[in-house]
Amino acid sequence: MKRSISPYLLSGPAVLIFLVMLAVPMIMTFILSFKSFGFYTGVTPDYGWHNYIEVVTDSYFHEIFFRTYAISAGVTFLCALIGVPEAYILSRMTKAWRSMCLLAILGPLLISVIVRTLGWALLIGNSGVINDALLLLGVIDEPLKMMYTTQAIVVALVHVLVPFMVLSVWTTLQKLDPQVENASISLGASHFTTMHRIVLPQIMPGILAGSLIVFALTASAFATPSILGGRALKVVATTAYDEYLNTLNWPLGAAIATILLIANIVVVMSYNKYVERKYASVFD
Amino acid sequence: MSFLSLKNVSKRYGSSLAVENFNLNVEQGEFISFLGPSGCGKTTTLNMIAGFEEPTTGSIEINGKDVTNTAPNTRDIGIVFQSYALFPHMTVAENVGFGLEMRGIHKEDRRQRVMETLNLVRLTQLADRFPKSLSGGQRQRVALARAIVIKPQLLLLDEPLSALDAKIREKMQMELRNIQHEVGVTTILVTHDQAEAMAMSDRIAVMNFGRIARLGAPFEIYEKPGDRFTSNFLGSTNMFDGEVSEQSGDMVVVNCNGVELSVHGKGTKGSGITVGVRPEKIELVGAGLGIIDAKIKTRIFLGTSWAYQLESSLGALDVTLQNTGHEVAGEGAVVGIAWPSDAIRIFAEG
Repeated sequence: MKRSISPYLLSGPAVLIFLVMLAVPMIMTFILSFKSFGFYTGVTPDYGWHNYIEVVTDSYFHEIFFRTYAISAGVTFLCALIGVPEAYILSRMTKAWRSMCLLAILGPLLISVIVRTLGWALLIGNSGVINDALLLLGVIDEPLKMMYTTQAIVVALVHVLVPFMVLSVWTTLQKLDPQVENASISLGASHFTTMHRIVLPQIMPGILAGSLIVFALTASAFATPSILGGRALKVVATTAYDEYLNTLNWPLGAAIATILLIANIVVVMSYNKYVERKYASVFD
Repeated sequence: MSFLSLKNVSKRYGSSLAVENFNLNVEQGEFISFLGPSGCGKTTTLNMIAGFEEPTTGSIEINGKDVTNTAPNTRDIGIVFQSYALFPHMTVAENVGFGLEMRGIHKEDRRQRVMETLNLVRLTQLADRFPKSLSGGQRQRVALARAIVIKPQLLLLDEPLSALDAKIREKMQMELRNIQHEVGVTTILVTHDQAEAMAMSDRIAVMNFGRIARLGAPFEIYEKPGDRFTSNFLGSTNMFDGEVSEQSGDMVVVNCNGVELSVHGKGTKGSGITVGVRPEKIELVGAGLGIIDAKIKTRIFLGTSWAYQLESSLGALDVTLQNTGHEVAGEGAVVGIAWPSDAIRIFAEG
């Protein structure tokens, strides 16, 4: 049988872009992470595990990795807390209201990350709108410190990542048989019990998928922690950036980036495995 | 005092009236059907009885208690939904046990009652399976078990068999009827399938435009449908429009397109009137021997019966004949048609 080459030709451009834009830089970063760096010698091709050993043993990096994943967990939790009810309410709306509200929910994604984050800075800065208003009203005597805090990073990230949770949960809600809730209520369950025993278990795959997206995006977020966290509150992505551009220690930056990537892959994959195993028996 | 009574119940959505002045009394243990085309208000009425919707006006009483505005989870009603609405993340036993759990029944008692009910619907061996691995008929029986295990005072069936194919549907009709008899629960069935309503119900409420068009036992309303809508919705009827040409005793003579037909009933001479006869009441006889002659346009063999379409001076006629094992007149033949004098009836408009 003659084999057609057209599938290969058709996927060629995509494969080429993938190789040039993603695979090559990643492999180069990976190789770079094994090289050495000196203040006077620059990057030298002395290969070894020293960059990795430095990251793994230095408590400075421990703190940064811990902060990154604590922020990721917190943002994911808050997104679920806000996004699930939001999606549920959205699914109960009439069409006209729903498209309006959907636009409002997706709004943050339509704004450039820099503009959006600087918007937050205008709002929560020491002489920002909130502090000025509270001072004027006499509620506080001196500005509240909101900029350069972990909370600021979390709030801003939740704001932009909630749409991913909403959309993900909404998709599973649409597969939900609307009569199932009535069935539960007719059997004597309260609205709360129905929510908790009937609706929530069924939309769990959507919540877990949304969590995955939010978690991965938070763990690798750069612009928001960089602007709202400042120099002092570093996360892994901003640390890698600083190693590259401030210290000029590219190999160490490459090692941090590689560890972040591997850590994210491990978290995402094991999470996915868990979800598949837990819900495979119930859902098609 | 009836077990369930609906008094002047109406439901309005914006400017449209879904249910209008609905009055019905249902006795304890009775099996009653709401039969009608889609949009006739039968599901809305069911939802109001279940408590998922509130009537705009009127009241609903169950067992002497006014439940018009009470919450659906306090009404003690078992419902079988059209989509079955099983809980996909729970096993069959957990599905059936959910209502008992909500009533705070102890785990061992619960298990026992679940197994008893699963035994009733013959699903004991599937207790630990998930709904997605069951066939349509099995899911239907789980839904039924879940609704009756709580020993509800009222059982509502919302098009419960519409998702099943024809053979299983007929079997399930019998089974559902038998289980209902065994349990003795007062039951309301909502359906658009007249055969289903007739097979299962003690009484049928034929509904149209949010009102009850006809209420009665299946045989009674099939034989005496009363109005045009009911008679066409329950089976079919050949209708003839004509004019009363004579009234003598308890018979009227109706002139339909030049053909004189004698019909039991009363009418004013010269007034317009509609009469009708069901396809299965018409007999085919030799040409010239019947009331009129007709030409066979099409003939379809259906196994248990023959379906004919005839052309006559009365217009198009549908005739159904039992298959008795003998070949009958074919397409193109001219035959006489006849019917027993009490088979033709006068219909009110509607």
